[in-house]
Amino acid sequence: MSDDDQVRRLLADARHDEPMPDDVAARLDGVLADLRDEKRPTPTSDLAAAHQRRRRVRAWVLAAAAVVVVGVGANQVDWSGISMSGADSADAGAGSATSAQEESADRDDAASVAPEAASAPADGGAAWRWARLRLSSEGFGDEVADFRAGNQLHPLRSQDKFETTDGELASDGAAFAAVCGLGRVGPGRRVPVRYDGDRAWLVFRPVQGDTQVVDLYLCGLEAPTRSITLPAR
Amino acid sequence: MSTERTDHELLRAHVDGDPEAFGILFHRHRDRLWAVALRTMGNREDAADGLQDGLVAAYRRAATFRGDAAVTTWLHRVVVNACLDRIRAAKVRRTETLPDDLEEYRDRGSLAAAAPAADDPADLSVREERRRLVLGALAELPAEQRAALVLVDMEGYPVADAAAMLDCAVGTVKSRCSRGRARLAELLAPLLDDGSSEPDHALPRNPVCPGPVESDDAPRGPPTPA
Repeated sequence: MSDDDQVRRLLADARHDEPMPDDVAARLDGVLADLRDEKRPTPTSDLAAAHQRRRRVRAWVLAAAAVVVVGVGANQVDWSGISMSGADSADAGAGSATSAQEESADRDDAASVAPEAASAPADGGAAWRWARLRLSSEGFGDEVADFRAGNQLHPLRSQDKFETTDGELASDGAAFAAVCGLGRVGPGRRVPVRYDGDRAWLVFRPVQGDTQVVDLYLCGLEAPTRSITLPAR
Repeated sequence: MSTERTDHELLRAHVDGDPEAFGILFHRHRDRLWAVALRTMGNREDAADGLQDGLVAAYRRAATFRGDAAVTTWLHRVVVNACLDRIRAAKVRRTETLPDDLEEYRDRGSLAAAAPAADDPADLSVREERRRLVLGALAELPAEQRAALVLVDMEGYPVADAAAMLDCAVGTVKSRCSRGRARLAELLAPLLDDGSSEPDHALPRNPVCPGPVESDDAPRGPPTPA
């Protein structure tokens, strides 16, 4: 048998013939649901759509219950004070007042986990975050402050080397960026979010003196839609 | 008679506004798309990211499908290109890549069922080690060569189909496969020289000569009379 044939045989033997892992399947189902919702003209107040979404959320949670909370714990996301949008809030609201630590400890309480987190894998990689932070126009300031506190974002100092570069964006938020472009918005740590249901980016600016500015950019816009100045911690 | 919709019908229905059609289509092919993404990217995290990029692109670009190829060929093209784009963007050569599914295989009964001759734990160990070496060597190749080999030699697609998926000429796919196999033959030489030998026992070879064999001294001339 020639070398060429032997190599081909070895490659064939190394073929991956297992089904897609459950956590990946759940994640992609979530992406599909997002795409469907994006395309669907029906308002979220439509009861049938809301019912369908709740059923889907439950399915995701069940499908990935074993991997969800590990990812949440690893990411140290604090959901306290952060609202859940639309119909999902009915399912997830029960856990909205719990702290990140409580959520990490209470790993059996899948209902307290945000629906998007259901697609997070056990390794908690940043690339798997899919805009789990929900913000509302009414509570924007408090919600951003709560997120910063709960997510333990280390405040960037003006002299720090900025961690968020295009390269990091490519690996960290590329999946989100594929559907929500972000123009040249300057330095800062970027976090994909939902703002009143719309995809957007939060940009945590480097701390200047005693303050830190946080800007919110809706997809494709180069001017911030909202901005808030928080006290530096 | 089956009432199951064809791939073409599902894609058309999606373009026409059927909210569930694309999901059905994707579920139908997702395991194979996953296999291609996994072997092209080399690890499950990047594979999932690449597959997700491809999924989003396919969902949104469905209307551009001209219908002159199989839908599955088109889906593969979108996913493979998404993976290659991601690799190019990251400019990463994953020399350290090991198959993430190795541990999964270790405890799976399906492996034993699929390979009844490999019931012996020692045989299984050899197979796993060989598999690890092959995937490690595959990760050494340029992404385009790797993608061609994944489609042709691993997934078994005809070269013409692989060319359509990779959006290049048939000759280009053949060339990439040929060069990729040649490189793999070098990297996997211990496995090729004796297929039954243990992969970590390289065959004895002549030691590499540490320096030139020729003498640096100037050649001596003919004896001169005293």
